[in-house]
Amino acid sequence: MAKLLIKLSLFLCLLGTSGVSAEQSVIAAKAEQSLLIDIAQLSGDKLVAVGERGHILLSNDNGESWQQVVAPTESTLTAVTFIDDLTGFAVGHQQVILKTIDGGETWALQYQNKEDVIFPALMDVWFRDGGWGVAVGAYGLYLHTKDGGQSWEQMPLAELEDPDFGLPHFYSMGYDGKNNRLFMAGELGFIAVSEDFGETWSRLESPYEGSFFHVAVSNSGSLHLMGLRGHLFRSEDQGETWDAIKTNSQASINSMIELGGSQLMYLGVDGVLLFSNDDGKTVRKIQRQDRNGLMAGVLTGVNSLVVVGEKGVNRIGLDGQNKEQ
Amino acid sequence: MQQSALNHFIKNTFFKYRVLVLVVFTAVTLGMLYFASQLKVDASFEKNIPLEHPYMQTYLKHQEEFGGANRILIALEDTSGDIFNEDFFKALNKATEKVTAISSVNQPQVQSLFTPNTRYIEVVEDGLEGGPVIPATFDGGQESLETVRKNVLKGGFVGRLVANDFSAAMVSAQLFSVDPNTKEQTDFIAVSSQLEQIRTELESDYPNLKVHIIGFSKMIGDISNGAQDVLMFFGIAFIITAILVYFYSHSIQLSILPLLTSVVAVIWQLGLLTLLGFGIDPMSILVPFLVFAIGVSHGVQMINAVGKNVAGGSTPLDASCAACCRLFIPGMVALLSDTVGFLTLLLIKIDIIKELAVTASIGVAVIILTNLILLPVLLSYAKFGKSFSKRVTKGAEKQTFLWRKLASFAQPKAAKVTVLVAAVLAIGGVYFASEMKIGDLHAGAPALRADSVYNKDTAFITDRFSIGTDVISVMAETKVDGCTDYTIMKTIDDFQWHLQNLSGVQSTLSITSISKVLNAGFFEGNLKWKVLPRETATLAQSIRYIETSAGLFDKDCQYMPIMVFTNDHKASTIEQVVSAVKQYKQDNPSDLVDFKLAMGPVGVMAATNEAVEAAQYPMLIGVYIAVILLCLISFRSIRSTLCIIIPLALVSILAQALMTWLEIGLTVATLPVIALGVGIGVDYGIYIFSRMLDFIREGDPISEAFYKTLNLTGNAVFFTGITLAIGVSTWMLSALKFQADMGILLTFMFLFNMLGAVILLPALASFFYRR
Repeated sequence: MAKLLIKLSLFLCLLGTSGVSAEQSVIAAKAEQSLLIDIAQLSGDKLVAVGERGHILLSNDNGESWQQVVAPTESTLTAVTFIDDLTGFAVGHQQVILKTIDGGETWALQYQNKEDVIFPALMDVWFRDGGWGVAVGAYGLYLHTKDGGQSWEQMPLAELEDPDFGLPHFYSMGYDGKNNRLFMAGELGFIAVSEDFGETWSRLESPYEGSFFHVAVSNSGSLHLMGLRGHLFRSEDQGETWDAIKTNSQASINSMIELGGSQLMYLGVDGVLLFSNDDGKTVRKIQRQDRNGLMAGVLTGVNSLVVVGEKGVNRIGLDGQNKEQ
Repeated sequence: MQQSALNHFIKNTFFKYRVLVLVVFTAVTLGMLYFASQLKVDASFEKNIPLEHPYMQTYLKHQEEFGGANRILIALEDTSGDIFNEDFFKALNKATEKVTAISSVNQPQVQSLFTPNTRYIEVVEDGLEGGPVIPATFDGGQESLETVRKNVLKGGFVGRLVANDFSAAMVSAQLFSVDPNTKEQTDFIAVSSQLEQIRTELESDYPNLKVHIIGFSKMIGDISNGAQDVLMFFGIAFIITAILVYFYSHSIQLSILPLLTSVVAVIWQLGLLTLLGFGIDPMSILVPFLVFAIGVSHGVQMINAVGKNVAGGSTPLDASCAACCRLFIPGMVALLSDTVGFLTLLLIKIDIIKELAVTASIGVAVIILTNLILLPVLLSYAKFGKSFSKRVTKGAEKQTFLWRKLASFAQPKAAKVTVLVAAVLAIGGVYFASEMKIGDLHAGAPALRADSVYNKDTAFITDRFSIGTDVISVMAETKVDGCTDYTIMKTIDDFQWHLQNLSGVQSTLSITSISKVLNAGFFEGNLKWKVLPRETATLAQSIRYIETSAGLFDKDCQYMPIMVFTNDHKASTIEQVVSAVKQYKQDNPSDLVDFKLAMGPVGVMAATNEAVEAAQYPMLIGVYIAVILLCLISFRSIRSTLCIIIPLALVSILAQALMTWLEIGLTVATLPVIALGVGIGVDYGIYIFSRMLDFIREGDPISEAFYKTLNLTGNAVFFTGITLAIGVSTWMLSALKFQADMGILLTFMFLFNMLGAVILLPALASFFYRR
């Protein structure tokens, strides 16, 4: 009898959980063409792209073909990062944090906060190792974990507050592995550095009053800061001094891809690419015909990139043109 | 009425007062001629659509605010391939002014680079900045052209107002269905000729310019121009028919009279249209052909009978009177069955078909008067030369051979083979007929041919711009201020994304897509912010920036259309969208949002397709019940009725198979064809069987009875079939595809119904009347 009761209650439990329809992304035929915002590269030609409506797409052939996997959210995902080939994190609107331990095939919802209207979105995520990570977002949202995302703690970062504006949107983090420095960039010329992996921060002097959308450290160790209306800055002294790079473009710049050697490619809105073969000291503008905004990309071969953006996935060459399908 | 009583009546009225009959007919004809000359062309949009269909209720409800399907697009192409030069912008400005000046154009909704509603918004360091795409300081110089090019890009007008390759620019306008100045129904044909004038003027003023114009009113204008060729086709049909009648009757007098009475019937028909307040449209313009052809073909039965009587030695008066008495009942039955066949078209809830039904019915009803009264009375005055009887007898001898051959189809053995062949044809026919498609199967305006100017313009615009003309809008009906409610907006957005994923859908657009773009705009254009804002205040703020004239929401923000641009307007594509919408509504019921089909040109097509599909079987059942009843009444025999109906049914099936084979879809134009074909096609059977039954009842074997019948009426039957076929076959030359399609199908039906009557009918009779 007791056994039966246990079975019954178990059954009811199952019924109960399936009755509450947990939110999950819809598998869509044209997800490949939807807004995709970030992309991560794993070994074995494997790519993971994330974007609007909780879309997560996997490719096992360097972007030739894609399969969408179900995510436990319909919120727009804004960033994805992997610690190794199996473990990764994706963050997005409604403070959604997802974790995978099987290389992106399945995702679990670790954290979200739908009700928090003051902090509506996470914009970037960075992990030092399997335990230590930081997720940052709009209006100065700052979440920190020391246990691989089991628990997240919101930190106020009062030291970064501007007396007039409060905290800016935090849009991007870039890590300098050689000097163990973590950089964070954001709204209204915000640029800051942390020397203790994000526990404490201090602002750097900004070369520009407009917003920065991305900060990155190149292989050579130089710091690249980019954002609104084609503004691009480069620093060889960890942000002490900045060189303004002439881009001949008004298109906002969203990210940077390392192409090997001292070659770099910057991706922007309006289908604008900036190519550099001197580590970003000078750039050449490439205008793509479709003029769709590009958000992120990875190098997949000698002359091939996979980029994601406004209209989904594109495989392009170093000339910025689409590869034949 | 007994035949003898009828004979008495005919003799003592029409033939006793012959002069009076002629005077009355002349007077009425003159009157009708006057009214016919007042006939107006009438091609309103509403007439072409099934107004009672639920989709069209949605359409009518929102038409005022959202402009419905009545949009015109004028694309100016610079043949050099680049629009950024002073001359082009002068031309574009001029075109914008001229289009705005058309009185039925909704002026605030006109859009081109030059209109004040064409503004760009851009992200700058301290927020948003915007202005008109063409600044007030524009002077046509290189520098200001460069500014315009930049603003066009910033505003996202590439693909909408400027061609994707910068080789053309667009002026877009909405037409009122009622002209606000004159308070009258908009005259689309007049608008179309005004547009044509703009085209001619601009192209002659600017040699580098090519103008492409599309839109419903332009299409109607082009259709009505195409329909004017109909006069020429009428002429051709008339001449060929006249020659045939002469060869048939061997007498000029006998040739002229049926042509004359048929023309009288056409005049009456056209005159009556004006009296009833109808106009003529590109579809009903074909009815006079039918009336003429039916008039002549029935008239031939009359002159055939009179001629044979005269050759047999009667005076023209006696011969005419006798012929009239004998043909009155079968003629009446045949013509009534035509009329009833047409009237079944009233079952179709599309006004243009209803009008076709009424006008064709009127025409045939008129023929009852002109052919069964006027023609015999006129014939009674005819003078027949001595050689006439000889020629008639001689001609008859030549044909005897053919009639013998045909009669052999009624012999039991041949009959078996014939029926077997018919059965095989029926089975094959049913197979192909079941593949028949509903709706328009080809790109562009289906009423016009693929190589017409209009369809070439359509191809140009859809090729160079990202706006398709194939758009179906689904109306999201919500509560007042629904657009500031996140749950509602998310429901719309999810629905839109669902439709976007269909293989037949190219792109979708709604307030939510714009709202997301604007939200990203508020966050400095950062695509990470391209999401629907959750806060009512933020939503309201984003929507404040959208022009109401964009047609994405109404003034209360309660109704928001989701525009679905499809790859084409093939019935299968439309069906995919429509059933996806229905399925989605079923799977995702919502108390907040009701997604209502449908608006936009493809929405109208969806409704029309559904109405046509729904009407198909009731119409067929209606027309068959009508002809079956008429046969039963006139022959009082089920066997006779079967002999007549089975060949008709076979030809109906084969006609549908032919439609599959020729890729002609079932549309507003081709739907009535079967009803017309059956209604008219039954005449052959009635004429043949009414004679044949007499011989059968006298005890003749079937093939002998049939041979005798052919001797008496075979000529007339063949002639009827050929006259009718010629009358409609000239339509195949029409510039209008739907007229050509109707021509092909009717010609087929008329010819094959005749063959069915002379081959299959006797074979069936030999089965049913075996003894």
